[in-house]
Amino acid sequence: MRFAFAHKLVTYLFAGLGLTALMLGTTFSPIEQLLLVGAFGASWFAEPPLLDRPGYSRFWNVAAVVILIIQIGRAIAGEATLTVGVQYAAFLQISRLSHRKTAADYQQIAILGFLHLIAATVLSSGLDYAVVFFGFVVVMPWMLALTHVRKEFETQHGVDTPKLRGELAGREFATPAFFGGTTLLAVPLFILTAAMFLAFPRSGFGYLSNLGARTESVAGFGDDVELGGFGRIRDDPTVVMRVKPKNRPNPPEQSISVRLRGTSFDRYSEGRWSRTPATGAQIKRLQDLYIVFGTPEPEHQEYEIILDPMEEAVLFLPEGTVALQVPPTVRAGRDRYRRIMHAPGLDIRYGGRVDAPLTYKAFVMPKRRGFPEPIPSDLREHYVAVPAGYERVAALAQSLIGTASNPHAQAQLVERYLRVSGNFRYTLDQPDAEGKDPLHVFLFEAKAGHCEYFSTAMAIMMRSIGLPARNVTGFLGADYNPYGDYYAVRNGNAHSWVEVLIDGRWITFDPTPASGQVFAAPSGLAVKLRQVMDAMRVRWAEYIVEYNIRDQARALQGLAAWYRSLRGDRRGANQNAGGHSGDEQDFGPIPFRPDWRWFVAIMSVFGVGVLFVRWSRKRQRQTRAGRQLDPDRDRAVRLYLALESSLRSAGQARPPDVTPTEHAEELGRSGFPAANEVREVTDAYLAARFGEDGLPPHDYHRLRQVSRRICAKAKRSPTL
Amino acid sequence: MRIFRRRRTRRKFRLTREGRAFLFITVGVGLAAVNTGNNLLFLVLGLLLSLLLVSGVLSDLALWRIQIKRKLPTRLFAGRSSLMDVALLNEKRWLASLSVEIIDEMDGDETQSARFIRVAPGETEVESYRFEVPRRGIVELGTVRVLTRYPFGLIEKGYAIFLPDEFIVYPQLLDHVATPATRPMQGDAAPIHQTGRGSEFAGSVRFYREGDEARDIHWKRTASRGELVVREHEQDSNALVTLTVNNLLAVAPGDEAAWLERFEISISEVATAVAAYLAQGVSVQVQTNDSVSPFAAGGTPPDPIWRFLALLQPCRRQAPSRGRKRRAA
Repeated sequence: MRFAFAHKLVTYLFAGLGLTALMLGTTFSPIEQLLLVGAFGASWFAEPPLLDRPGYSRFWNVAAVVILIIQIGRAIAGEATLTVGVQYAAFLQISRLSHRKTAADYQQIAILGFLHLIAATVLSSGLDYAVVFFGFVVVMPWMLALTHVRKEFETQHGVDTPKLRGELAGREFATPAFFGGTTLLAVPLFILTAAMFLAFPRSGFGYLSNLGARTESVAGFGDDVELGGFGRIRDDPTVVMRVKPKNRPNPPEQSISVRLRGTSFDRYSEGRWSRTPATGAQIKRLQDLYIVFGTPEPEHQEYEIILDPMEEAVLFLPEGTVALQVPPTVRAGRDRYRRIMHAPGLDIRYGGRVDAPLTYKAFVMPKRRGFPEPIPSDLREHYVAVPAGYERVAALAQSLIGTASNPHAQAQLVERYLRVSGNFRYTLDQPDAEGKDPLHVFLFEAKAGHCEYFSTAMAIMMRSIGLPARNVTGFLGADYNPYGDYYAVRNGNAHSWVEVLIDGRWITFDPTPASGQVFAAPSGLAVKLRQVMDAMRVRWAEYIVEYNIRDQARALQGLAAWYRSLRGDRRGANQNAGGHSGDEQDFGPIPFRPDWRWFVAIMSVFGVGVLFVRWSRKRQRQTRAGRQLDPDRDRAVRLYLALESSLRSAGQARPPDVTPTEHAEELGRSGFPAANEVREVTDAYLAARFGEDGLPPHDYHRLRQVSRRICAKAKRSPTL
Repeated sequence: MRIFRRRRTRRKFRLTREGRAFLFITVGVGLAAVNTGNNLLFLVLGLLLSLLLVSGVLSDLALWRIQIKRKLPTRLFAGRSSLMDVALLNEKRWLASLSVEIIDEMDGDETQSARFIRVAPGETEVESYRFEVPRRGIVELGTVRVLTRYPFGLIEKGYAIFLPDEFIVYPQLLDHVATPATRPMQGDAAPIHQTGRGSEFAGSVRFYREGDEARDIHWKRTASRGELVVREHEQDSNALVTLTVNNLLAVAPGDEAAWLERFEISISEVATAVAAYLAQGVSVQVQTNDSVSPFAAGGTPPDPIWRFLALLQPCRRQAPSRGRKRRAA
């Protein structure tokens, strides 16, 4: 590959990675992204003689100033400073790419690309950043090395000279060997980077650390939700949450039907559910344990939940949750606990910013249905309110419950009517309301809809017979991800159901037919790839983004324990000899314990390596000599190579254009203290190598000793 | 006086301009990372520091197992630009040596650099640097600095290797100098028949000597013998010119500078005249107040006399002399 082309290609890779890093955040609209990509592609074709036109560079310089003024104006007008700054940084890179000529221009491109990578650390913390980062690790050595060589060319031949053009058109530098070698550099770079990343003490204050992770927009958990607006996400495979039940069976089930409650809505009007705004109260906290209804007990089921950042800071809880454990963030080496708020309607939200998926644990009381959440007096009427014009719905409810007087039985009758009577079917298609009330259309005309229609119908019917009820949104079901060992909850698992207040407890009823509740576990190669990606995303967040001083301390403790366990093991062996047992169990399992077999294995590998090197060197000597040497000549060659090695150590290496005899004579003339020994070994070598004399082994060993003494003798005798 | 002089110094490094900018960014990222606690910044910081470390190791590899050798030019004249060849042998078996720069030391001053962009494993490359010595005499070559900025241009690493050598710089030659006509020697001083730089080919040849003119190479004989052979010409002038240089420094101490300037000019004139006379086939000798140069037969290279002139120094006391400038016998 021609040097100029290789350098250009690598430069575009590098700059492209930087711009991609910038685009990871939400600062660019799709149109702006399109423009950026177009300009990036167009700049590829900016080549001489276009670059040499007198007005071309001036145009870009003027444009840089004009756009800077525009961006400052936008910032003053109220546009986010970060947005205008990032946009300007992207423009600068395009500008530089469009008039790159000398090595200095390429250096500026490299610096800008790198600044983009740094800026992106506050724009995104997801797996996409990881991909860009590792791209940088690979491409950066290429970029820096080629730019450096270009600069060397320019220093040697001058800018824009025929000689420089000749060098840039040459193919001897940008070879596969060069790219292979510099790609291998990524390995030590990666290892060193990882080691330093783990070792840097984490004592940050957390100010301006991140502008927050990119949040996922999921309808249904805000202040209101429109009937029909929630059901269209059923096919969305985006994972929003991961659930790890403790004590899950082995092998794990492919899917579980866990119900993760998000929020609830108390008011219904004109086809829209809404929630009465309320700040709520802070949940009582014991360290990192938040008591919702009670303290965790040993028999409680434990779920670890990893929640992707969403627009709504809702905490999703499995049904029956009594307490939460939310780990604190660490800033300036101190734990900062989150505020968790509990608003009426069991609306539990977290405070503070999230930079990465939020991990928390929920303790669930099994076998107890419903939860006792009292209704504030000012909200009581909301839960039984039925909008005007729903008399027909009320009449239907009355007809369904008939003579049943038990509230629980009444609710079950309505639930069964909607769910299993066969009158209604589940569909994702929106009923065509044609201006009519959607609930009436669902109940009396279409008799088909998705979960929201079913839950709304039941809630209104319950209210019409005087039972407080509310519409609840959340997620139902999760699929096992074998690569991450967790159950993944997708956007498509979003669901809606009903809670009815019966005997002071809010009881869950789900009127949606089974076909709307059973989610087939996805399969196929694409799904597997998505699972792998999601598992990587979780690990990236866990081990990189959320790595903190607590993890460092834990890692250090682990290392110390491992070290102590090794020492303890040795002591234990001694103690065992004396009839005592060791106490290694105090430090947990020992991950690695070397014994004599390890030693033998390592020494064997080393020995084989040494033998291989010796054999290889012998072969090389023979190849260099052009024929198989007889033993005497082979010893002579080895002897002289040893002599040369000693002379090199003594700083008297034989220049390539000097014969052994000349070198020995020259050393004698210059007063080299071991010149006689050199002469003796050289004569013996020449006599055996080219004459008829032999070099028997005992002579060879004696002369080897002589040549070994040369270095020591030379060092003992200073020369003027 | 250095009794113990290391042949090769320890490797030293310094940051280049790009390296300083890189370090500045690294420190900035480090401060930002420590302040914010943003783990991604720690990751970037790790990458930056790793690049510096890897850069240091790779630059060592570029300097590892290389040998440097100078090749001096055959003739050097004061005030005239020349090229010094530097050979770099890469003794490594697998790795090329990239971006190596050699800076020589000439009379204690650093010369321009010779740059080797790439020297393949086991190969020798020759580059050169341009230099100009302002005065005649002996010039000492000393320490050679071997530097590299490979691979990223962030760190300049290098060592100095002591490679002492010296060479003689001939006097500056003038563009033109008058060379009065000569007449044959008379009486006992009449020359015997001798070869020299004449118009007639004497029919004999000899091996090429340094300084012989290329036009005298006898190509047929050269081809048959396999070595350069030159024609010998019959000397058509049996003249001998003895040129005189007054090197007696007999002036007041304040006038020494002016005298020395004139002295150098006279040496240049004589050196130029020597070349001109020898080219005409006239034998030449130079007489000074305290010494006499080697005799140079007409047609032979002027190097022995130029060497004599290059090393000529002023003297304080007059020695017995026959001298008269340009005395033709």
